[in-house]
Amino acid sequence: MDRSYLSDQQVVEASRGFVCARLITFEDSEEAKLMKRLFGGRRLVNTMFTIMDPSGKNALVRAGRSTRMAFDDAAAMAVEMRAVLTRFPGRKNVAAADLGLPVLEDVRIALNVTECDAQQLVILRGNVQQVEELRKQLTELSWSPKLVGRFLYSVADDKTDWQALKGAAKAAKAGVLIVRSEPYGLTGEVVADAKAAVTVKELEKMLVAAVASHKPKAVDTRRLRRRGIRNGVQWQTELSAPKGR
Amino acid sequence: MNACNRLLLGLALAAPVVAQGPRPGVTTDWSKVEARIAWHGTWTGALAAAEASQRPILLVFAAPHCGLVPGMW
Repeated sequence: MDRSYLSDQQVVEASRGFVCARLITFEDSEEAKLMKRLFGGRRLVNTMFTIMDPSGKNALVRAGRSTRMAFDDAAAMAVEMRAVLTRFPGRKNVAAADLGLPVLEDVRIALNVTECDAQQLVILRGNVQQVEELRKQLTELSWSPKLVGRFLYSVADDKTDWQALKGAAKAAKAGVLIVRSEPYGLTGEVVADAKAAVTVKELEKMLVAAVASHKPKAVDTRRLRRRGIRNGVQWQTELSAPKGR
Repeated sequence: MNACNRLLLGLALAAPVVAQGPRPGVTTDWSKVEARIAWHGTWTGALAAAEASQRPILLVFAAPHCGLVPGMW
């Protein structure tokens, strides 16, 4: 994925007028069909980029392997995004509830992505009713200027491997957990938690404190990859991925 | 080897390094990244949000592994 474009501050600013979807390749058969339809290919590729109209049916920018293939630089991408927003400005007064909580449902994948992004993961845990209530509270907070784009969100289910998360056994069995991933994103550690009865104000305080105390370091991915290969660290994709991807 | 030759040898050895420069994408200093994009992680969620807000969609597919080593784009 092209970090230099997607972390550019002009692009990030323009993205606030879009719905941004980052789908994980080789993990979901329905999303794989979408990629094949958009990219016009029979096989899945590692990365793909496009801009679509609000119906999600029409591509406004031809689908390509990366942002770099579509634009000369991040500034050009931001210009194009702003042009798209003049054609599709969106509804006025969009509420956080309209946008929904930006979740990546599978905790295992979300933890991996958290590590890729050097961010923190918020996990919702509990029964259906408790999770729904927490989702509502977090939706408001997740789109607030202070916290937008600061966390990844995921919902625990029966398949969640709590053994991979240090401190999960002692954390709230129903509530919100803030997790920091460890190198390679296969494991993590609970750094804060709140019970399901938490108020929005308490949640906000917890999230803001987690942002303030999180100091991600520079990552040399080339060195990390070499070490990972030496130590046999490997990701299992749900769908078959071409060798070397 | 006189000083001039030593200087020329030093420049010759350093040239490839200077020409190569920093390798983009190898090292990411996350402390310098201020605001981030807020990503929906599912197409269903993104589509529902786009329908409700009538906003266009920035769509990216990405694999969180490199040579199947996880934790990196």
